[in-house]
Amino acid sequence: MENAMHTILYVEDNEDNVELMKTWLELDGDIKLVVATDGKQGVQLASQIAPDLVLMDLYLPVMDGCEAIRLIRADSASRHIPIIALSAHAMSDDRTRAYAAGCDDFETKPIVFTQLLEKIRRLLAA
Amino acid sequence: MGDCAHPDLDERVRAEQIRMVYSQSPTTTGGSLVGGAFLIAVMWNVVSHTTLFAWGAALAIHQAFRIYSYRRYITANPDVSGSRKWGRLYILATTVAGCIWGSAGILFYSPDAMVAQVYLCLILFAIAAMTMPALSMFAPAYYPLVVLLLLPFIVRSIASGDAEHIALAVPLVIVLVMSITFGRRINHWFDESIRRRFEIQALIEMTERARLEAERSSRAKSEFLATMSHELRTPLNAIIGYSELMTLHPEKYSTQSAKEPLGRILRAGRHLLSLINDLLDMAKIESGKTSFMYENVDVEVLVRDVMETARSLAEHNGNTLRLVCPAAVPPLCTDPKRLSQVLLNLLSNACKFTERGHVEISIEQMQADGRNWINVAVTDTGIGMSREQTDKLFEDFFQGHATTPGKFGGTGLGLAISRRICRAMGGDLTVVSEPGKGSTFTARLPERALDGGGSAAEVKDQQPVPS
Repeated sequence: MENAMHTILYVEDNEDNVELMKTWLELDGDIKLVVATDGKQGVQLASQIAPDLVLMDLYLPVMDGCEAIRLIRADSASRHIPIIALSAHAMSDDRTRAYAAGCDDFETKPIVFTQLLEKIRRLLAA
Repeated sequence: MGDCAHPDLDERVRAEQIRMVYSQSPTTTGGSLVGGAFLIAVMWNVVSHTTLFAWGAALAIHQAFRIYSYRRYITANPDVSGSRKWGRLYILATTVAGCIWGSAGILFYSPDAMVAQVYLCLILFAIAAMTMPALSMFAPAYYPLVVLLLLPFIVRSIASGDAEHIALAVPLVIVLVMSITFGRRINHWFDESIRRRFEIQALIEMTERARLEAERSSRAKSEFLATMSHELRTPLNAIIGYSELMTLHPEKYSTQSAKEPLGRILRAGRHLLSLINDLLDMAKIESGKTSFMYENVDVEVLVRDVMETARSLAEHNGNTLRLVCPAAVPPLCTDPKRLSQVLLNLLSNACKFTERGHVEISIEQMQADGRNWINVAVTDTGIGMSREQTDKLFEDFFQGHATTPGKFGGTGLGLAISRRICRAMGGDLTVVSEPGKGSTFTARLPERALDGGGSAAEVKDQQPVPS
């Protein structure tokens, strides 16, 4: 079932979070997770490998997540890719900023994975 | 409130009075020239033309000088301290004006022309009356003018012994006395109102500063709360995420394979605990609820103890640990537990960010601001920091090298807490660093923390204040 394989790009600098996401996404065996550890790398990988979906943490070294989302949206090779933004800042205006930058959905940490997986499935099916 | 109570305020009041008299200058000059011209016209057939010309010229030259100095003053727009010399210049100018007008009382004295004499009296009367609102706010310029203006005519008239002339002197005597009496009172009112104005201005500025400070501190608190929420959520993400995973898919884990995610949960839990502990510690220091237990401490012994605690951490990264200490260090009056906490934080940072290098603690005595200080410096040969990093280093939650909190550990509050402790004990914590070369953190502590360094609450800890 090589065709049913989905690639998801996860842009995150926290190792624990990366491992956790990997474990969750690889449960069903049809998702391959590619990781970028800073915003700039995230933008480059999104353009190069054109993943089926991007999970973008907003607090990243080198380049902030919102800026990365804007650049992904500005590049014709990656502008169609659905993006889910993730942030542990519950009290700031992250949600507004992320939507303004062009993300499709937003999740607050701690992530409720069953809920996130549902969103991912929905976006991948669309 | 005595006159010497606010030397600064007195100076400012004086400067304001000087500004006010200068601002009247064009009007007084106008009045003076018109009055002078009228007087010359009245005296045209009574006094010799040479005298009239000479007097008129003196008046005109003097008034020209006053206009000139007025313009200079406006251009110079002097500050409070620069106003003194302008004040002296103004006193000189009004004294000369007093002499010129006063001389009219002698030069134009004409016993045979009574009508001209009455006009002269009237004009001197008018000039004196005009002077009160124009100059009384600046007493040192006002009194000489009034006295010099009126006295010659009064003396000359009385000296003549003629009853009619003495009668002419009477209103001028009254004006002289009234001018000085009312002038003093008006001067006092001006003084008071200027003083009140400055006090109100100072109050408004003070209130404004307090308001800005309160706003700033409230903003800082909100930012702190937002960052704190972020920091607490990050380990919770691992705890909840892995627990959820293992609860929903228990079949995926054997006793053996569960170890890895359980280890991550444990680590995140511990990180969360140290975050909460640090937060509480910081809140306590911040609110002044921490009591510092001061005692005389042998710094060298204290430092050696801390070094023992940090030794395994140093060896873990292959670092050597070294102490540089002068032969005799005087006892340091400090809270040993708090100082150990600071030094352990500095040492463990140094060991964390240095690999196969050296970490050195040096103790040094110094004098500054008339006090004895003891500096304890921790120097490493580690990765160092850029200027941007050191600028933010003591901010809450700042982690200079932590793109991955797991890599170097820590809560990002250690240095913020350490600096607060040092400052609460009357000292400070500073850093000098260069990327790639290493860093030096210096805890600077007063030899006797209670010498005005500690707050009243801290003093109470050791010497209860009898109530």
